[in-house]
Amino acid sequence: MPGKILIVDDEKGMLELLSMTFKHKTDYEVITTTDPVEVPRILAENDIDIVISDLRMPEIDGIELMDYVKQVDETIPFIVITAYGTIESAVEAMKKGAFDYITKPFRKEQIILTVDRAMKMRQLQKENIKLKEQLEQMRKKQV
Amino acid sequence: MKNFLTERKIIIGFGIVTVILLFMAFFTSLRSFKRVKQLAIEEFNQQQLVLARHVAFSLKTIINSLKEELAILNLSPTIQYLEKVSLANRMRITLSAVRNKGVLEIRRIDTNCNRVYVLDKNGVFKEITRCNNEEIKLFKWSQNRKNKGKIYISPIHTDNRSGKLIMYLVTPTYQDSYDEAHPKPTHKFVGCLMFTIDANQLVRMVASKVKSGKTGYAWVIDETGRFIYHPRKEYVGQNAFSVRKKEAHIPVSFARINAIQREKMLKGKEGTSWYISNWHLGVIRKMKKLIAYTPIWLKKRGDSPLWSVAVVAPMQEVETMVSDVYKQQLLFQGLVLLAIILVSFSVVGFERHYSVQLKKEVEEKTKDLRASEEKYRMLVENANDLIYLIDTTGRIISINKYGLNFFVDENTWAEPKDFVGKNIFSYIHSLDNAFTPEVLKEVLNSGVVSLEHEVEINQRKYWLNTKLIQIKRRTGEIAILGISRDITQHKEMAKQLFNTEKLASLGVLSAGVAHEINNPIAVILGFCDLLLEDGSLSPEEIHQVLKRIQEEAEKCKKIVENLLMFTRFREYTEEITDVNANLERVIALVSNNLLIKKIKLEKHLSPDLPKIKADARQIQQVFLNIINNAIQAMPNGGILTVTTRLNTQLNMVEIFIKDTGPGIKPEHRRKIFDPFFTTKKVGEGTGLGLTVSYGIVTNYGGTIDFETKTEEEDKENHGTTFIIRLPVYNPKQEEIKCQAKFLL
Repeated sequence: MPGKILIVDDEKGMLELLSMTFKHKTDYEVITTTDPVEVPRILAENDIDIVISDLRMPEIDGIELMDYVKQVDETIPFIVITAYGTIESAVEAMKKGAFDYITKPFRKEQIILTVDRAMKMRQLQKENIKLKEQLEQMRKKQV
Repeated sequence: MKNFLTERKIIIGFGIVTVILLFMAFFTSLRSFKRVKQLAIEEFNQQQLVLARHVAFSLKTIINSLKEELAILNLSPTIQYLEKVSLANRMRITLSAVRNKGVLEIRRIDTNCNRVYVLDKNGVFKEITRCNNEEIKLFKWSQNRKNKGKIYISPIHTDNRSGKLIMYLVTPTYQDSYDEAHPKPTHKFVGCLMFTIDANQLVRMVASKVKSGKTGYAWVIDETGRFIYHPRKEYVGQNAFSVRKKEAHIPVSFARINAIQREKMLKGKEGTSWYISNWHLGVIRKMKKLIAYTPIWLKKRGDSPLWSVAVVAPMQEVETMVSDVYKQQLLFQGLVLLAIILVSFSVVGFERHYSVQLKKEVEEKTKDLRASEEKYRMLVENANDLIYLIDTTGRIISINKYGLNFFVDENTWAEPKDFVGKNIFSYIHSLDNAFTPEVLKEVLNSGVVSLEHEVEINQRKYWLNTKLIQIKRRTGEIAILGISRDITQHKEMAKQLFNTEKLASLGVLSAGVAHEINNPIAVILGFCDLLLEDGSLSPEEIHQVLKRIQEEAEKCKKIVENLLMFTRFREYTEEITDVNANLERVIALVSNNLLIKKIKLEKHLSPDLPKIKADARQIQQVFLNIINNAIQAMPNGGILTVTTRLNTQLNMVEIFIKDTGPGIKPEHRRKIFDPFFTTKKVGEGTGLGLTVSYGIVTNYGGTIDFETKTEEEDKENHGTTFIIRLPVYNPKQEEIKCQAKFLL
């Protein structure tokens, strides 16, 4: 079940850790950026299935970024990474439509599991959309 | 009381003297009035005398002119030779010249006194063949050869027919002249030539014109005492001694005027006097009259006939005139005197009132002063401060009881006087070299010195806050007043307070710090997990991972170092420090917090800011407290502006820390520096942050102020700006400043 993940964090160490984790433990293709401003370009150029983002970043924070991503494609699951002690902001992100949240420090199983779930849902949504399109085409032919 | 009595005596004395002076002034005034009246009367009479002399002179002149006319006529050949054709014409020429001088007729008696040639005043010429007795008498005088060339003035007699007062001018006629008809004079006696004169008309011509004063007039008597002229016509021709009595409507004594007439006037004397009369130009009443008289000798002095002219006027006229003027003057003087007296009494009264008032006020003030002195004495004695007065070398002049407690043990009895004259520095030993004889020199230079210093008194250590003030004593000597407050406890408390607040600030910091530390730890843990799991990582990857772990661990170390810098307990030291650098450190500490709270930071730090002298930790603590407050005031983000600049006017470094929060509510504004005042939730704030900051800044001679606007006050530009001002480091001032140091 391959897929493309976009990871956004201003901390380079975190990006390296996540990309290395996904590289060795999953088949997902990973794209990373430390600059949230780059996100629209990446989304346009790549077929991104999941976006993982830190909540607190300078310039644009995680929730603002999520709003932007949802505008482009509402079905893309958005996972937020948050620091210990700021669960409230993660819960707020969930309310606004985030798929899930992960608190730092995290175990690799935890994040892989969350990403797998998200990817499964993403695939189902994609399939669903495809089936809907086929149904539509069949109706048009019958008419 | 004694003074009051003396003053009373002075006022009574003054009053008596005033009354005496008033009486004297009145008496003198009265005397002067009488004297002035007398002088005026005398002066008036002198003027009357001048008038009388004028009358006498005028009459004499007229009679002399008549004599001249007679002599001239007598020289005429027509008169001498009785040339009948021209005799009347010649007489008419002379008559026309003398008619208005009282001449009634011109008569020429012939050689034997048989015929008289008469020209009357109407110009009618007649020849009478018989001489009357009077003519015969005058002819006989003329016949005497001794009388040749002389003119005889006859006494006055009343003409029986006309009632006129007649007098004659007679001269003997000799044929001494010559003309064509008589070329040779015979020098024979040929009779006489005479003027018949109306004496009253002659005198009236002059005397009636005299006016003395308002109503005074002149009268003239002849040597028999008969009035030749008097304005009262019925008196003319009457005897002056008897006529007044006859006419007396009001009985008065005429003795005085009679005596004057008899003794003076008829004896040809001149003078002035007064007399009693009962008539004056129709006014009938008893009155005093002033009289001036002078004789008229018609021939020569001492020879009859003699007339006397008198000028009289009522004395009352002069008196009225003088007394009117004098009354006015007296009234004016009286008014002036009254005004002076009134003013004097008013002044005296006012002075008295004022002095009584002043005395009362002085008494009250003295009482107040005593009370005030007593109050201050009590204040000094009971003050919980060490108060002392020392001379310029430090010798004690006085000291309060509280001060003694420092110098002696509790159980030792001591009096302030026991310490007078002893040197204060032998009791108070400075531990920081701030309180030494040197500081007294500084007081003498600058007037006042304030210092916080550590001392040892009676083997105990104290922190004192001392103010030394230069004063001038009543004796003129310069002395120094010292007030020292024991602030040992305060210092201890401040130290504790500072630590408490520091811990509280740490709590506020923890959220930000946790996040900051969490990140590298998460990365390290994640990589460790990968490394430990299996051997799927290539050697290059392992190297990369380890390097990353090292980097993240370094980050952790830096964060911890930053924290340590703030929390480390160490000795308090003042150093020359840069405000901008301290601000940067604090900003580094809170930068993550700013990020979390979505607060944008704007820095405007003046690059050439002068240094200050302070403990950097304390200054950072102040900045941290205020920036933390600013961050907490903007939970939903905002802008934090930090500005530094030099205020050249105050010579102070100014730090502005501005937030865009909701502002401080008006009801909180007065309390924000109060200890334990907080608007934060329980557990979030101690309420000591600004109190401690205020203490620190003021300790360095700085100030903390704030400007704030709530959203209600200004919807656009709400928020709070804290302004911290710290004195610029000045090496010169530093020498005189005490060195304060204490342990944190």
